[in-house]
Amino acid sequence: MNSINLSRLLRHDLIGLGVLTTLALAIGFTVNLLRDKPMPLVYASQADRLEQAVAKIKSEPTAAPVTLSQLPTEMDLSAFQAYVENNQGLILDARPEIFHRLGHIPGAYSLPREDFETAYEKMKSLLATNQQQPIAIYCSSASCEDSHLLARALRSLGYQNVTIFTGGWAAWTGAGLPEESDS
Amino acid sequence: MKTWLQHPYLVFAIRFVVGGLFIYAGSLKMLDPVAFADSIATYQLVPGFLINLVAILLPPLEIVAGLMLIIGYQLRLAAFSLGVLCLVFLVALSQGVARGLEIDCGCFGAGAPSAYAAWWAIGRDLLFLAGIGWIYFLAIRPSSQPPQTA
Repeated sequence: MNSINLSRLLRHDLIGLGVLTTLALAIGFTVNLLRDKPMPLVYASQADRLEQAVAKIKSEPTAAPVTLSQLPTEMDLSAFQAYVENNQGLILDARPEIFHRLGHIPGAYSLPREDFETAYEKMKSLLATNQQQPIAIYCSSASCEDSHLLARALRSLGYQNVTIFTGGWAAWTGAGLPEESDS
Repeated sequence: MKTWLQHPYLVFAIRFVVGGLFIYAGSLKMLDPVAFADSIATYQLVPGFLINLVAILLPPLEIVAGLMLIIGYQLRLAAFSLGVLCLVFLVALSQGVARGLEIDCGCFGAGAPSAYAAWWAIGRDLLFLAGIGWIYFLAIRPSSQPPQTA
């Protein structure tokens, strides 16, 4: 009867795994290099990436007189609902663009945190005309960070009248309030 | 004596399902490597300078090994590689749960970090590991040929 030489098997399999890993690394690097925006080799956190994007935008000339904040820094559902219904200012959706397309708060524009640099360029004409305009930001729920990161980024770009709807999309839909979608 | 667990159709079904899921998971991660890197970061296990490297390496490894498992090429190596991956995922998930971290599994693309999702991923990983372990066992057992085809 044949017996299994486990250590020999294991050695062979580990060598095979090494070869497979090398092949996968080569494929991964090639695919990454072929991307429109290759991922850098060193990781930067979401907050760091947003800061880098803000720094890039800041280096471009902008006229930004800093004004005093009129909105509270955060809004609960009832205050935000009144803000939306009375059309008091801009509403920005910080979630990834795909989620915005699937459904968003009526009148909200998409300014995804994950693609801030590109999205900000598209929104610039609307935003930069009046840096004192009220801006309310939301993301998916009370536990997401995107709205906070985006508010910080916009404030550092000179927008001082920025508020966060803390409950986010989850609180809005949970209350059965109207939605809009791009589909 | 052959048991129903060795039935060629069942063995191929396991290979097809597990291999297919790894190909699917790898493809989703490959489509959005930045989100996958963010998921890896939530585990607080891999040093910062290695996170993107892991995010570049893992998806093609999952896809290639998954393909090998389905088509039956180097079946033992495919099962061994996916088994090692499953074990690594299990250790990563378990340490996260033990430390009370809210992990975004990242297994099938990015999601919302949560402890519940981590438990669910651990259960799924254990199932995969059982399937892959069985394929590996069939491939190495003495006096039998590995099930190369269905």
